[in-house]
Amino acid sequence: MHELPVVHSLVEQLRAEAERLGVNGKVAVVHLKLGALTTFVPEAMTFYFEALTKGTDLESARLDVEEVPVAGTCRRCGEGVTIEGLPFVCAACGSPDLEITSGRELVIDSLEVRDDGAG
Amino acid sequence: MEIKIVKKVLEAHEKLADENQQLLAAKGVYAFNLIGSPGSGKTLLLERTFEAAAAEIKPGVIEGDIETTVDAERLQRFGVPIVQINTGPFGGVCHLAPNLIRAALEDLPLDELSVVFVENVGNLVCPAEFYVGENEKVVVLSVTEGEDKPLKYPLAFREAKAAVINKLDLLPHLDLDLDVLKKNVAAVNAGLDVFEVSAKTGDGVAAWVDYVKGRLAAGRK
Repeated sequence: MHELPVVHSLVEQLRAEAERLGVNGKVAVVHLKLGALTTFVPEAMTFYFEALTKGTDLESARLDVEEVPVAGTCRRCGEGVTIEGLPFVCAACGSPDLEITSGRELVIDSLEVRDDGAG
Repeated sequence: MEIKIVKKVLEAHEKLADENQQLLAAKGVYAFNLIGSPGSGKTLLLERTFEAAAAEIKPGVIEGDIETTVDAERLQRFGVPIVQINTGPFGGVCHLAPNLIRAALEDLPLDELSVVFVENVGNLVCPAEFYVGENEKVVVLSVTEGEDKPLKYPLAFREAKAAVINKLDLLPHLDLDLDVLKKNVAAVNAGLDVFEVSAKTGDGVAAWVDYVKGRLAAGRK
């Protein structure tokens, strides 16, 4: 249920962005990047997105959620690591001392906008 | 046509949380954000902590619950400043957001405090997700919850700097294997400082209290 306030923030931000870009009512797809380590469920996000955009300028926009893997660098051996399951250790050397740099994203990456022949 | 945006959805949240941290830092106050399941023993851990060291660590408390002021009442005997946040009136949300923490900080006498304990709403999911301006999160897990919780709620254990395993006095009555639980904690975050305590009997609490004092000392540098 904690997706609801988050999607609410997302929709408010999208309205402001669409206004700023002069593309009100023309947003077709919203590309969202969602880190695999977050607790937000993509299906819940798209469900709330539809509910919160109904009857608004964003009604015809679709929310596309792309999952970003948990990844980073091993502080011991310097190898890049991608964590696909537990334990949280470097696949190369086994060290748990990792600098995790991705996997917590909740980012509006881009908007696909319909041209509608107007410009 | 595709337009690149790259903006954090929680940007406004994070900005507020950063401002909370700046306020705390300016006052020289260290903040712990305690997260854990309902009934894991967060409030009793605070009671034991204050019994041992309230005069020394000069704590303030922000209590988060969907409803009731029961937890705040339990802590009142220590005479420490407490602000109760009930999320019920705001729609019963499941975690404390930075704007609520800001309002609570303004009601605390920060000039007189060295540490603020935020006791978050009891659950292992959303409180883990949100930074409210704390210096560190601490996850409280009781042995009655089973060995698997770190594996089921990895974010809580990734975000925390310390884990308090509570209710050790109940181990004789449980099938739980403490070594397996600790192994699961380490599988998610081997860098956690882990404390094994019984907040009920007071066993192991001293090490936790020393940790708190150590953090405050380091934070003051």
